[in-house]
Amino acid sequence: MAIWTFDGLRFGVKSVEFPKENDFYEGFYSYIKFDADKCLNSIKNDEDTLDKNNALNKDNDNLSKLKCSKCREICPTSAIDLSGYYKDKDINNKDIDRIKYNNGEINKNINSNKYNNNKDINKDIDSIKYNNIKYNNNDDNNINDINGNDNITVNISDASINNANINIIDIKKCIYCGLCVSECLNISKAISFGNYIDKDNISSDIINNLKFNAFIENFNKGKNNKNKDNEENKNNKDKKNDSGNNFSNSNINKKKFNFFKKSLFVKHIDTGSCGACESEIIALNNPYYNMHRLGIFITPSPRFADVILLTGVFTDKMSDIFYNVLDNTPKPRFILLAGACPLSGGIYSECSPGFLKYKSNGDILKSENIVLVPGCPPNPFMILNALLFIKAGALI
Amino acid sequence: MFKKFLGDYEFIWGPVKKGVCESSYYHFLTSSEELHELDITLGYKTRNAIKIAKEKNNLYEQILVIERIAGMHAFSASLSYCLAVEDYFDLTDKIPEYIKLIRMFFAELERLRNHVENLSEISGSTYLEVPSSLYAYYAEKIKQISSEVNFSRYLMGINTVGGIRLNNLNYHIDRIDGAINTHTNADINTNHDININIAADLDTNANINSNFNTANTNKHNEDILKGFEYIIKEISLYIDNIEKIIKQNSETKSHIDRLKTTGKINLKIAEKFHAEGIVAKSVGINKDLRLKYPYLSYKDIKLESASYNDGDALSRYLIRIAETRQSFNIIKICFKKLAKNFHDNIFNSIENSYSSLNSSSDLNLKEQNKNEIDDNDKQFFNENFKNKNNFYELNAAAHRNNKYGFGFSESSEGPIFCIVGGFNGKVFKKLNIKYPFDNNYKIFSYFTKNTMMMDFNINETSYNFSVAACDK
Repeated sequence: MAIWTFDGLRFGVKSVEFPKENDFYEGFYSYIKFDADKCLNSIKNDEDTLDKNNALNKDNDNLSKLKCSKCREICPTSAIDLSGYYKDKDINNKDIDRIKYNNGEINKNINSNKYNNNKDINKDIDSIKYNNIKYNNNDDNNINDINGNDNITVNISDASINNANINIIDIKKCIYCGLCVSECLNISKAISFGNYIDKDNISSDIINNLKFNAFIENFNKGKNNKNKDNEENKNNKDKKNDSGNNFSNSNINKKKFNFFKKSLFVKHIDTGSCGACESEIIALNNPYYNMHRLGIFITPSPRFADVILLTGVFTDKMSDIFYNVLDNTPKPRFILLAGACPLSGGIYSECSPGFLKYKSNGDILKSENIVLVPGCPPNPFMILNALLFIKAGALI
Repeated sequence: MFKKFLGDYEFIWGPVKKGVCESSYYHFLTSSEELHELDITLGYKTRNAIKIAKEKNNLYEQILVIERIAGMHAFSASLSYCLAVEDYFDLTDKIPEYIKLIRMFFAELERLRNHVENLSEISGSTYLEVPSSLYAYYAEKIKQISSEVNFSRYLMGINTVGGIRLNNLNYHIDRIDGAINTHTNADINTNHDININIAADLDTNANINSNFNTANTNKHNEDILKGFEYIIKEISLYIDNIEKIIKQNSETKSHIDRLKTTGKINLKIAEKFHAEGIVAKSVGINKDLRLKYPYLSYKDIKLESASYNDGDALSRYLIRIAETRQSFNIIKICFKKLAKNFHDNIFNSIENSYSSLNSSSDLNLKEQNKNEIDDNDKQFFNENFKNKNNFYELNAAAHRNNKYGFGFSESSEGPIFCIVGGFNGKVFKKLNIKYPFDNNYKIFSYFTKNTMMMDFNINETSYNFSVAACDK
């Protein structure tokens, strides 16, 4: 017997405590946090600070309404959305910058807000409403054309604006470069980095932030799409477990399913990543994370897979190969998008838009269950938690 | 495509393979055990990274793109870019030594991490699961320490042009600069990225607590040193354990016998293909840029090149082990030098900058800002800050002469070259970066011919080339 097998059997490596069922897995993790109370835009009646910080932007009318917009200017991936702040003052002005900045996607804002608002579903809904007001007030046809969504109807009277609900960072686009942090240090320290290790150090907000990092993307909210969805369901009646359309934002409590009662099998596809995401996924087999003991395995073949783990910007050459893999995976299945690249293109967003915006992915987005894990690269804990949620049969 | 004989058959493998790996397409011709031909096609994941980098608005955004071409070599790639830009603006002599030392510190940390991770892959390829998982455990620990200090597990976002940014970019200097200059929108970007980043702000432990006291300089500097000391203490524990694993691995015959004489390389053909990095060192070609063209302050450190003549997988394995020890020693030396010179260097530079600021007539500071400077002693300025007016003249002169800047750095797998030119006022319009994998994967495809199919995994792991760097 070789030395290693003998020693391995005798001593082994001490593994971490076995998590219970539906337990949230905690560990070392660094993240960007935003305190809305500290931000200059939330503080009222400070004209001095306005003059100081906004001395540069006097030419632009829209920007001058804000006290400070430096984090938005400096962000390389345009992940910071300040449009919520200057909503009150003059809504009717056309803001070309705003449209460019949002890239005409309402869904993104909704999901980013889901991430922000922690425990209460009502808060979620409020924030969604709050975010969408600007679109309804801007009755320009151009905006609707860009968005292509007539789905969202919001009453302005219902909007209740709280500073606690505002989170300006869109985590789908954020690559954690920390430029906004260093910029905000000069001004108000509203955006900052954070670390935590143990359970004692964790506040409840952080746990919820972590939990909401993984979320299901639901594209079937609209009235127009409902009929199509029903047709699709009729066609797939034979397959009992095909329940891609059961999730909806209105029924967040009912996000439970019983697909995967036993071990979970994952198939990984690289569609143009830098290699950091791969090494993070390989790291899940470390004794530190030790994915095997949780009953999660990586398979060579898509025929046995329950989850397709996709990394990298969605290149043209890899798109056909991905569709091939998708056809070979049995239902029920999940698609897990790891990293900022498939979500929005990340730093490469100018050339390649990512999985969610790819031209021929429209049908897939409607019919499949898609889970998003942001980060550049995503922490292994976040990937592991998303997989655990899928395995446990409930997303949050 | 290939010439077939009786009993030969060909099969394809990829682009989606088993396990977790990058997408590339292999075309084999084998007769059961022996591998006759191998054809590799890449290019499934081209992202046009350099084209995107040219279209960015800042120099810092260019760095962000270059870091994300190959994530495992993020720091050394960004370092080569930064050195190229500093070469372009003639700043190489003016950079203070503690910044050079800190850059060396992180570059060696990245090399150490990559080697430990590769050692785990090699021992996994010989089916020794326990040591491979132990190696991976320590590589994971190194990543966690780096994220604890810098908030990024892969040392991304540390380098800037002319300095180092530990996620607190130039806390005070930005603000003062905003008061001095008359801004147009075009000027903001350039000022921010080139001039200001020359001085570095180092909040390591202050970050972790997220409460920093800017007033106390002594505390602040001690915190920085404590951060580095913490890294060294932790890594020294891991290195002791890694040495034990290496020792026990060397005693297992099955491990060493598998590595011996697999994937042998000729010296002639390696020279013909311009082998680089560890592949070259295994044959006996020593191209280490740290020795030949010492770039940061590698001059002051006595380096001994690790090279073998056999050219097989074992020699590559031994070189990696030698380099892990070497790089840990360099880290310790860097820390010692920092601890000696850190206080003197910084305080001298601060005093000089204050005197220059007060005397200079060009810089009209407001009263408020002056008070802020007095309050916060930690800021310091370089000579470039004084000669700000000359700086633009330099740029213009460089633009007229079609000047180019050239920078290089030695990563864990080989040299990374970067060339830069055509400064636009915001961004370099001419830019290219070269990784060692462009040469090495050709050698890999050449020398895997007429080897055993069982050894293919060992070969692949011992070369350790990243597809992302080839495709860009």
